[in-house]
Amino acid sequence: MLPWLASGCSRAPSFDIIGSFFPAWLICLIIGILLAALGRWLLLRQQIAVVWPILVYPSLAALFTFLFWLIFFS
Amino acid sequence: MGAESDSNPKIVASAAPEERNSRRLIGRWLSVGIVASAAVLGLIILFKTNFHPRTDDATVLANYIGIAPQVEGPLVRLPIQDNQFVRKGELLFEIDERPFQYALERALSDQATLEGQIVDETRRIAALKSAVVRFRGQHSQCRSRRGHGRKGRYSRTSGMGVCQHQFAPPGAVTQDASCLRR
Repeated sequence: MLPWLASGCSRAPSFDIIGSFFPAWLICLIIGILLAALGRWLLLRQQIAVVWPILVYPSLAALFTFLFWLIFFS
Repeated sequence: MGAESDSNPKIVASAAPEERNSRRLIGRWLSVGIVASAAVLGLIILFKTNFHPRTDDATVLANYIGIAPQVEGPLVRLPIQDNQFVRKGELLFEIDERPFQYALERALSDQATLEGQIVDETRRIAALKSAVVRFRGQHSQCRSRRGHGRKGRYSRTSGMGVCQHQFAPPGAVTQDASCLRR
């Protein structure tokens, strides 16, 4: 964890994926969407219904995205 | 799709009414918490990226002022570094002054030569003027002598009665001043 945090300070905020460089926020967004899908699956399993799903689940994806970006790339 | 399945009454209908209420409350608070924390984190990120931006290929908007000296030549001194802040009147670079020094000395020596030539010419002109004065004197003397001969006081022994005088002023083109009686 610590080397990852330290490396976030020095290396470029982009990822080389099969020759193309993707920005870090895009990776964070994809991870956030996946985690939001996982969270929705868990919430449905616990039978907890959110109020406005169309607002809450994108917010959950954004929350994970922001959290990832803040932890690893800010 | 999510809205339909989440608000599906079949899922929550299986639970007891108290549990259903608590789950609804949890869901409500969770929704509010997720939206609020996402908004707060979004604002934090907006703040951070605005005040501490980070990028691979940043460009700085600045004015570039091209400077060029009025004379050309090799530089002998470059006292400032790249991107250094300079003030008005500060020395940026120093051009080798020796070629211009040589040119100045050459021009000065040319001027001295020309001034010497002017002195020479002035002297020559003065010499020519004095020669002209002398020639006029001789000429008038010659004429007066010829006039006397006509009156019989002067015998024409040479047959032609040539009164010829030459003078050559120093350094000048030889001028023949002759008065020939034709």
